[in-house]
Amino acid sequence: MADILIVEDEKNISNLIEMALSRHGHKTDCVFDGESCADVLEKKHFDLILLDVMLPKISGFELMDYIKGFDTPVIFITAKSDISDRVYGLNLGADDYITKPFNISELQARVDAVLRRYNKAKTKLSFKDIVIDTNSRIVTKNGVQIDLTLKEYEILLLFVRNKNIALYREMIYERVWNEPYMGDTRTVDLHIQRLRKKLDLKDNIQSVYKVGYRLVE
Amino acid sequence: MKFSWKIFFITFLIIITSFGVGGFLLINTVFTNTLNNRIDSAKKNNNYITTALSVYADNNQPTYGNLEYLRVSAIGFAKQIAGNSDSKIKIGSINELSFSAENEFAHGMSVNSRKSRVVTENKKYYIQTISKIQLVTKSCYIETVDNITSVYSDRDMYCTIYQFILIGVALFASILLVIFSKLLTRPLVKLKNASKEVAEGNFNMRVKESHGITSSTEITELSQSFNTMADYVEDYIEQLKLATQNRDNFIADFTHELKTPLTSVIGYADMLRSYEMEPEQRRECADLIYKEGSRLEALSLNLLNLIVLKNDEIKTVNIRTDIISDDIKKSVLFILKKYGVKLKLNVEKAEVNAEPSLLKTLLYNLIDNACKASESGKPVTLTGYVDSDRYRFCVTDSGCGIAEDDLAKITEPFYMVDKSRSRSMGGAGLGLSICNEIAKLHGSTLEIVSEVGKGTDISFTVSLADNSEESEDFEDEI
Repeated sequence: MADILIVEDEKNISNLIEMALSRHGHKTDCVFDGESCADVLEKKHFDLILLDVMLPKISGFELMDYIKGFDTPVIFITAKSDISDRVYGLNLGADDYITKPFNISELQARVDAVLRRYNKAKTKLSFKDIVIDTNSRIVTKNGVQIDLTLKEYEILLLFVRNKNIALYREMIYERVWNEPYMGDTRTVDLHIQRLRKKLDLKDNIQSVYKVGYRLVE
Repeated sequence: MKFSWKIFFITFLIIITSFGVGGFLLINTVFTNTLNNRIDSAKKNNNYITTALSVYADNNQPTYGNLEYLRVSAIGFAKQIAGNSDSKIKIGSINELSFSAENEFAHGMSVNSRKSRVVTENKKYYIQTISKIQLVTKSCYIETVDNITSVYSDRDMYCTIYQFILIGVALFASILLVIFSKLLTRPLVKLKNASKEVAEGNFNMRVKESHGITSSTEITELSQSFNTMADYVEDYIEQLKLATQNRDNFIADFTHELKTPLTSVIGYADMLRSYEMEPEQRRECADLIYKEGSRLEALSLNLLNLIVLKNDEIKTVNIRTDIISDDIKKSVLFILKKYGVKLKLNVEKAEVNAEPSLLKTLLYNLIDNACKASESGKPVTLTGYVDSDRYRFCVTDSGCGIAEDDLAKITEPFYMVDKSRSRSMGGAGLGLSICNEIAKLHGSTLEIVSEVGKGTDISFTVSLADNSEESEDFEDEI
């Protein structure tokens, strides 16, 4: 859970980012131009700023100088995809650079990565008696270490981060296997069965008809 | 090989050859002349002795009884005469001659004949002249030998001196030649360097067109042509750069305009397929996808219009302006209601030559823009009047106006004065570009006068209907 400031003048895109990040468990604030960004920064502390480059009044690149004083990590989100623009943005001190149009999961992953780097994301997630340490990648149940394969670990992480939300099989496959879903649902089902067995989550990971799975407490 | 060196070597070769050949021919002529003179004088000398000897012998024949004695005294006399000259004289039988002349040269000589030749002995040169006469009773040879070594040694000396002179001339000429060939080819070298600069991309390089005393007509002309060429190349490159710059800007703007709605479409669709959502939220996502999709469609249509207009020629017809204003009045009713703006029409009746649908699109767009800029309740005016030999349409509003900085760029594709405001009204910054293209097709451009806070006045002209042709036809018929 982190406080994230979204600076984006396109209301639709701002709304989209907000939706995606709050689904991912973050708190978000939105401002629509450079000036109000500076105003908000004075009043409140943020863990991360998502900054559009082409903003009315003050551009994102210009705003960067001001933000530096607050020691808050910044990710640029912009339609400028030239290498020179990326290099310029990163050289200004940004931690990452995402070009539009972006993928929701990529946005979430990049946000997590930057937060992790600044130790601002929770490194310990827990669900009932299961504790996941994302730094050491160790999963314990009642203090006993459980061995999970890479895919099982990532599926577990996805469920714990999206508690009580129904996840589509396609989405699970694409996030965990990082390739387009081609219609073979058995792979996901198989891994989830193994996960249920290893962590004794038979009742908690529920099948949702025609959708996929949901983790409930 | 450098051109200056070529000039140098060729000229040098010509100078040295002509000097050498000429000089040696001269020396040789002098030598031959001297030699012939010496031979002539040797012959004369010989003749003189011979004659004197004959005369002496004839005169003294009666005095001397002993013929042999006469002979001896005659020879003594001759030697006495010849004693004054440099010649060596021998008088006697054939066996007494010098240089083995008896074998060939003097062999078989007839009496009273004379022969002479040049002989060499021990690197010395002599003229040997031999006469054969009948002296008293016996035939007798009179030989004179002149030393002419000096003639030959003189020739050799002249040759040596001339060689030194030639070397001196060569040195002097080569120094002058180097200097002049460099001077003459210097403009060429400058031109070469200049063209190299141009080839390396320094397009503002120019050469001096006159090079002072060393310049020649051809070089001056070449320099002028070079500069003209460089001017053209520079202009052309500038145009290309500008065109590329414009295209790059267009592509950058276009990508941005394309990516913004695409980001929303892809993003919201991604949300929809990834998460189970409340019906209300799902509806919101779908609505946004629909809206952004429509915006993409409008963008692509506008862009298509712009491209088509840029490449097309139009067919114009004669049309009455009151008909146009009536049509416009009907078609803008909707936008007038939407923005709460009143439209005042003040169109002078005339007949213009234009493409009706494009002209209406243009006027519609301008009125639409004027409405967007105006506050509710304010009027927008469409005026039309004959302006010298053309017809001028003018759309005036008293809305927010355009800042001076923006005025120049406002007809560029994708340029928006207020991005977020324009977007919220569904614009992509193409409207005025399209208007400008239409105006251009009608032989005019958009003329924009604006003041921030007071309003904007956009006008353009179209040509009046060509009635003169018809009337001429009419007269012809009469």
